[in-house]
Amino acid sequence: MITLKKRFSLLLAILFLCLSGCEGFKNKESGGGGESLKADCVRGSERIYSCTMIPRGKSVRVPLEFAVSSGRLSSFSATHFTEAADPAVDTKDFKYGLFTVEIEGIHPGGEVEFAVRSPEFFKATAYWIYNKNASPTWTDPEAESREIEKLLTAGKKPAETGHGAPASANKAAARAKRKTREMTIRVKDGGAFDSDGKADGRIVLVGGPKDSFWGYALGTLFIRFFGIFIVLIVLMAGMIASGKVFQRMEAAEEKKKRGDVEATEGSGDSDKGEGSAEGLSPEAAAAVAVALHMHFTGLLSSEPIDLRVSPAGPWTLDGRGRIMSERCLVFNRKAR
Amino acid sequence: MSWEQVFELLKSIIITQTGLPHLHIGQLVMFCVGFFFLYLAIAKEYEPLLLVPIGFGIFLVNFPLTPLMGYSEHGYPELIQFFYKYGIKWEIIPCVIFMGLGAMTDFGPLIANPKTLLIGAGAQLGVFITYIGTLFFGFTLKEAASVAIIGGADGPTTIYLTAKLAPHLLGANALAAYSYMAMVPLIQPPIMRLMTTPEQRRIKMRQLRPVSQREKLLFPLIATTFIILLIPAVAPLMGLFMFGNLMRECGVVKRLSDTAQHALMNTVTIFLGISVGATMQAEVFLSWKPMLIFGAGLLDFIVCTFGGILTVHIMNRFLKEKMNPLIGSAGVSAVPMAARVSQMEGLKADPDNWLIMHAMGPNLAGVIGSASAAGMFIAMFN
Repeated sequence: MITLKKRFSLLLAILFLCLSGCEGFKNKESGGGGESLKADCVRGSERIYSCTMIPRGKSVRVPLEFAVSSGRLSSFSATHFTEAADPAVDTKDFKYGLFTVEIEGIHPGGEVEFAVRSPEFFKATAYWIYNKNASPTWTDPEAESREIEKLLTAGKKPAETGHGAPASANKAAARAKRKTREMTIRVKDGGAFDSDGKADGRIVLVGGPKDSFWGYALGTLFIRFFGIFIVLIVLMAGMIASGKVFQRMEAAEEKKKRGDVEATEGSGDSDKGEGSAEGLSPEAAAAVAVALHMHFTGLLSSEPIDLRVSPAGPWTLDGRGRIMSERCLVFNRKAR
Repeated sequence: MSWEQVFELLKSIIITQTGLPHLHIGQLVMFCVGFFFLYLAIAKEYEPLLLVPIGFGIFLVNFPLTPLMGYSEHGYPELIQFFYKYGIKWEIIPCVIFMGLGAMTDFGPLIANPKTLLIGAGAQLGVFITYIGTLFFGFTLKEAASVAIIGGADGPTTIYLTAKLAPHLLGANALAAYSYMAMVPLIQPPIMRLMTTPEQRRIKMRQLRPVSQREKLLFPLIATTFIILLIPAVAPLMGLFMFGNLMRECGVVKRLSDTAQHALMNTVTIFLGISVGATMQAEVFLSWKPMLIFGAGLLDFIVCTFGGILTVHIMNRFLKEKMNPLIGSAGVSAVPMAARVSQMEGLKADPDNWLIMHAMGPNLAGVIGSASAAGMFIAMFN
């Protein structure tokens, strides 16, 4: 049997957990909720850029890596989607946002392999390219997608793993190794995917990882549906806790009032008659009124009263409820 | 002036300055739509407070060449455009209506049995199912969200969200929401009987504990704190709702509370109804989308009712004192109609079983639940 004190403590614990666990509903500035698409990128080498960001629909940072097989990545930036807006393409599909990559130092008209890696990519994830000079402006180059053995973490440096390393780092590393997916695209200088459209030894690639719309929609909807439960559970916990507090306070006040009344009665005031109406609550008064009404109506009527249809207001209904729960007898008027 | 010139002049006046030559079949269809909703409101008394101004708004705005929903030559909004722009587009009217609703609401049954909040949450199931379903039919994400919230059975919330996300669907969504709210006594009972056994319908619930005035006074403050901290996007709706309730419960601003409940509420209802009706011009309304919206709205209501009753069944697995599953359908926040439906179905099963006060808890929880769902959608698109 859980005592009142333990129940109250449990409710407070649940409230605390719900509040601290509500990462998904933090505002944009704190980076939670997955609505912020700001990527923090650092150059790993001449041919690699490593980024971490909170994609749409998530509340934790994920790593992404962009690499080229030849040449060098001279410039790398996140691009606002309005620059590449197209009615045929929905921004919601690009939960990582868009990136503009400039590759230099390649032979004019040459080809280079461009790779994007992340442990968060699925087999269905594609890398779409935007080229304002092409028609259609958005294309899916059908990147080759495969799983690779590469350690990617959300920190700026890969965590140290192996013997002597913290268990959490080894766990995260094992998870990363198991899941890192790489998408590779062959891009030709001056080709269909090169935004500058010139075979000049420089490729400008604008695009981003695109996930299945339904995956996002269903995922986010589940979160938000259960989010309503979380909000209302938190409110319920608060109401239960405050209800208990108020009931205790009122019980204490009632006790004190009764004590005062008894003290007053005991001091010799006997002129109260058969009963005093002072202590009668409005609910009890309503219940008595309904009982009298039913009794006298029953006496006058030769037919049983149809209790199913009633224009009675909330007080009378409340009174009826109280009478029934006290198991008041209802006379069978037909038998009279 | 010759007779020919006179006739020419008359002809040009008739063509350019009267509406007769510009009347087309779409507008005649919209007249019929307006008359239909006026009939429902006046003859059948289906939500007359909203359907009369909406129906008349539809009728009025579909006359040709009327300076009602456009902008004048000086760039000022015309009459109904003025109400629409500053009342609905600016999201003022739905929030003021919510304030009036809060001033009318007694949260006692909900405070006495806070568990029923979960029923209000479960009854939003239809909102999310309808959201996915409408996407299949080519609605955009925002349109789908605005259609899905119809199942929350909360007129101001529907209007607030639709005005924000898909204003071109405002008329259809509002009409669907209010029509189905009026039809709750027709829609819900078959689902309630399908999802419950006669024994379950006869479950008697313990009388609710008395709720002190102090609790009712603090409830709007507590609820506002929790809800807005967790879903800030819903602050305009919930904030005013709870403010209205606070005015009612504090007892020291009776005049303000009375004004919010009566005069102010009635005033904004008139402007709301006529503005919403006036968005339903033939060119906007006569397409496949409004028809789909009506179908989706009905499905939404059905699934929400199902979700509420299912939630009670799930809760009963964990509760010692079982709840009557009929109150689950009251999680659809058509206040107080859905609670009355639970009451009537309960009485049919057992004439001694009075469920109305028990059903008011989930009914009020549904208001909070549907506003929370709207807040979730707003946050999704922000």
